[in-house]
Amino acid sequence: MQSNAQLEYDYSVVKLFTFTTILFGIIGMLVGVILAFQLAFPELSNLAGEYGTFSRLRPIHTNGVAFGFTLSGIFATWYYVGQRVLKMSLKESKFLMTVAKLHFWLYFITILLAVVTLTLGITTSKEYAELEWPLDLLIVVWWVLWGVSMFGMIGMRRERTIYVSVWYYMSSFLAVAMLFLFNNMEVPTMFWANGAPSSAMHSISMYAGTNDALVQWWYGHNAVAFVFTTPIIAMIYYFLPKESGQNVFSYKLSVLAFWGLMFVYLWAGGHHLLYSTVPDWMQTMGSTMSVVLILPSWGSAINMLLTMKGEWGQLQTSPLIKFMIMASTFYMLSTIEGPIQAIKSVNAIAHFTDWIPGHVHDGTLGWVGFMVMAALFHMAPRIFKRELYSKKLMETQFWLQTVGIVLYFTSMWIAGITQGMMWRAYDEYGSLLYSFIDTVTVLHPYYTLRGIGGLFYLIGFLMFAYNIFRTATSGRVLDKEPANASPMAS
Amino acid sequence: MDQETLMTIAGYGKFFLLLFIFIMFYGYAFSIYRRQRSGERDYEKYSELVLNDSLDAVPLEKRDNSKEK
Repeated sequence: MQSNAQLEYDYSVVKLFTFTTILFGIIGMLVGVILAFQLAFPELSNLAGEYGTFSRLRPIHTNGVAFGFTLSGIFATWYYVGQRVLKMSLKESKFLMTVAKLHFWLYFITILLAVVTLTLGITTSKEYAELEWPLDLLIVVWWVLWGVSMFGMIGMRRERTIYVSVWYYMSSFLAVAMLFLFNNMEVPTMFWANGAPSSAMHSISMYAGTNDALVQWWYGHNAVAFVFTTPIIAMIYYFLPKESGQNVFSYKLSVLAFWGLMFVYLWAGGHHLLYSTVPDWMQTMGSTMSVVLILPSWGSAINMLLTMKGEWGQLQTSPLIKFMIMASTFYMLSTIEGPIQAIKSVNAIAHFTDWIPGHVHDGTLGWVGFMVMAALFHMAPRIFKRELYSKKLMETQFWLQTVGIVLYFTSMWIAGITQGMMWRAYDEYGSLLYSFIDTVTVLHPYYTLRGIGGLFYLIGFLMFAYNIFRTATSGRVLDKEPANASPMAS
Repeated sequence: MDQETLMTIAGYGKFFLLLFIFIMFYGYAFSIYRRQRSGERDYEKYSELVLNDSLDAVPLEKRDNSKEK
């Protein structure tokens, strides 16, 4: 290994992934807002023929924000945090640098192809696993490349101890690899069509019926665990202590919460299949494990809040700390809400209602979105060597987006519970009191409110993109790297 | 083997698996706190890995690369 006297960290790959985080964030969130307004005003579904219908756009939204925006954010922060806590630079290894760049370009091509194929209606129809088999193979290639770069960097580290954030990134890599391979076991039909016409892109799942549902939700819920949770915890365990200059409240708690989360999360997926045709014991296990999940989740979240002990004044002065503390708070909210919804009797009302997307979005908008943006805000002065362009813009963005999230989840709580109660209501003869369209009419104002909440969040995201763009191009040049609090122009 | 026997074995298997993991987890938690208290290992110092992360900073616990194959 070279002497590190003249060495510095290499942020070229971080910059590339920062760019895609913003690009796919805008695409995914814009489509999300369109979908929200389509639900409130269905005539909006007819604006672009088959390409503008809800069913065609929905997977573009989910794939765009989960595998475009969030994964880009995860990769950008990995290449930043990984180098720093391991004390190694990508500049020290041509091989790892090539792997990292190849990782980026193959990833970028895959997500662009995902947008194109989904727009054309090419889909496996499995939720959150819609991409067809050629793209799945491409994903395997760059996921392995990420693993090579990750374990390569760990192998070259100067620090003996691997910081807890890196554990979380590693868990994300290993778990997603396993989940992805099993859920996407599919047979391309053209090889086995016996001469019958078949599209080269078409495939069918190797599982059928109940088995397919079980594998799908084991995958689906753990995609939440290992894309929306563990790597985001990895981020907060690095960026909050670093930005605030505080030690983590309890490192021991971070390690215990890690192992707790690893064991419990993988069993919780069954709660997506309550009251369906899967074995009863599996439903009970999904329910129970979901409730137990509160412990490790709150272990991490409380650890983060207590990290600010004695330094709460920073919450007033730094919008960046605000983003992270709000993210941690939303993490607590969604990890208490999820287990409540997974209790069988509550699920009897909540299942299939709008309360579910409400729950998902206070996690994704509040926890994932805020944390990814905070991480990018923290990295920007270090990777571009410039001061953040505007603190005022950050403050405005924070409040606009917070109001947006509150509008989103409160409207969906009311809509969901109203819907659930109306579907179940019956008269003294046992006949249902309402038809489906009655519920749709009642829900219209809440759907409109949700659309407005989403629009607020999207506008905030555009402000974020502008702020980062101006930071990179016209922020005041810094003569040395800031140690903790990120410098920002008023 | 009939289905009932199979279900019974699976039930006991699951119970003992959970018990085993429960003991492992709390044993690990106990060992961390014991090692911290006895001074054998200071876990809390690892927060410094974040606060002291520039490339020219002295590693908290230097990894001896020369000993590795």
